[in-house]
Amino acid sequence: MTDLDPNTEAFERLGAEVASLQDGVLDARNDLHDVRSRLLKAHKPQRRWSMLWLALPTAVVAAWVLFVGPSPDALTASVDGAPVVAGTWVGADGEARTLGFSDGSEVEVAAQSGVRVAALSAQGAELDLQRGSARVSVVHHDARTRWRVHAGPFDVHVVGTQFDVAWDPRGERFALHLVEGRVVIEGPTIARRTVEAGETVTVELPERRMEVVQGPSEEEHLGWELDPIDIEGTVQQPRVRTPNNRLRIDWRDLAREARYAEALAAVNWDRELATGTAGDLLLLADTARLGRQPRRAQVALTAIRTRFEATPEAAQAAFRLGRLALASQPADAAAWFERALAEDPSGPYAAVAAGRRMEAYDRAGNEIAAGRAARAYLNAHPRGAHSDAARALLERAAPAPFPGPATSPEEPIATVPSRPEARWAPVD
Amino acid sequence: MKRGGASGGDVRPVGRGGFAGDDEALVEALRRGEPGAPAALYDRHAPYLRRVLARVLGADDELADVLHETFAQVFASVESLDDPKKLKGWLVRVAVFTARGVIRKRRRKRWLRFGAPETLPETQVATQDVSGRAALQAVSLVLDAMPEKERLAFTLRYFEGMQLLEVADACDVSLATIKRHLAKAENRFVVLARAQPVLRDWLDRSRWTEDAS
Repeated sequence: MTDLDPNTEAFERLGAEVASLQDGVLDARNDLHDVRSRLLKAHKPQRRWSMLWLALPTAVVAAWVLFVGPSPDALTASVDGAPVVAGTWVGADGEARTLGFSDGSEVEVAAQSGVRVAALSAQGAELDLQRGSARVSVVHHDARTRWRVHAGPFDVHVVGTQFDVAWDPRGERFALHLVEGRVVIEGPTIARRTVEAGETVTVELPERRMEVVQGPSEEEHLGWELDPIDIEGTVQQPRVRTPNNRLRIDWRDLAREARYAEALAAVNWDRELATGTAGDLLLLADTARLGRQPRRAQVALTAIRTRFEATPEAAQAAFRLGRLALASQPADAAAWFERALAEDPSGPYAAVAAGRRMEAYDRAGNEIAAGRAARAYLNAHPRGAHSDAARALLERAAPAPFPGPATSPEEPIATVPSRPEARWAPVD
Repeated sequence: MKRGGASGGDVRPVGRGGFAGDDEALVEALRRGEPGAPAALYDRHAPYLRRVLARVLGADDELADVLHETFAQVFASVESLDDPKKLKGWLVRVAVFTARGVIRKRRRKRWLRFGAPETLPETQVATQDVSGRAALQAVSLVLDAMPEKERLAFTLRYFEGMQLLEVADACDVSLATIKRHLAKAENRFVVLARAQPVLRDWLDRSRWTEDAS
């Protein structure tokens, strides 16, 4: 019986410690008030008697909406009074333009900027800021209100708020200034971060630098000089529609929806390899791997190794190349794991890479290197996920002829090819 | 024994919205559309529900949104509450149901998060207490690897300190089922915790306690 389990006391002790730490975190927050005001603004209780009086006119309006009026399922959008549908690209070449929505929300697209209306739904809209900046003012209606703004590899989750957002695809710079409300940003270097009113977040991907400053938006944060817009015209309706009435606009969206084959068909492969961010290329590699195109995954990872040398992403790419090669080319895989460990010895994949290195040498038939890798692993991770395998390997192996000093997990176990990157041929 | 410090008191008022009646009267007021009833319900129960959500999901940035979603569900479905005297248990069930949806959504997105540093509570407390932050992160990684049913049973039982019957009620399953989930969760937690260096001390102390007993 569970309550009599001898570990119960230990679990309760751990639970008390976790609860105490969490309570400290909760005490430091003021989000109860924020949620309260958001929630109660959205929830306007109706008295029952008033609902009875309103029943007939409500039914008439409902019937009109159902049979005559516009679909209640999705917002509608317009530019300068002209309706636009999902998939429309709105560019502002000379001066700012305003994109209006039927729920009262507005997006002011700054000069030299371009936004695509990716999707429209009853709860909100998805916008793809392809370049430049925009001021987004979302009207919060109820708890279901959901808007998202994609800016390059960054996602901004919006409930009801006003903010300025900018993306410079050439300089790989992102910026967001929150005027009011609260948003959550997801993207490279910042993982997932909540932005509070008054904060300005800037990210410069090439330098892997993120900055958060408090105070009003300064012009230089969101007003980068951009080249003149290079697409003729300022409103382009979509030409291709998918069966569910959504335009295929960005391979990343498809990848995030686990539509790997479509994402791989939509991606401009050469452009991504040449200009994609490290985060995009990692996503592309995973998309290719999950889409059963391992050679394309290798190419994307090799591009990271070439373009983002000496970064944590390059070490991650080495680790992933090792994983890809493990089954068919274990000797190469071992070399990649060696590289991953040498380049980022304390990275999030270090323990797994040390374990896989042992496995790769074992699969390659290199018993001495496998034995040393196993000992190195056990020294560094005696209770790690591969510790049982390491002990089993040492038990079945003959005593090592050269015991030598204990090897650290970062120290190469065997000779590493100087440029294993050269082994992967490019894919057309 | 239930956990909870100042942040988790069951009746700590948050602001306006005073309401003198008990939970049953509060539900009736809510159903009648009394203007102050939603605020009173929130002020009376939000701190506790936030605490329960934090136990299950972690005290991360998403917590406020999940609390918002929970109360939106509560307001939308209060008519379905059979026994207004059991308001608190029903609220916990709604919170756990909402948390379950969040866990599923996170799981679907997890493969996209490769390479990104694990998210941590971005609070002054968390950043000042480095060892506590590391412990919370390690626990979070272990919980993320557990099946959702086991995670719910484990966190409500040990982190929130609920009794087994309360856990079963919160998860809307039988007592026998929750015992089964909990037994599996305990075994799995220990196995997964071995991969987290920060939790080794706890594991070692647990073994010592077990040997000594």
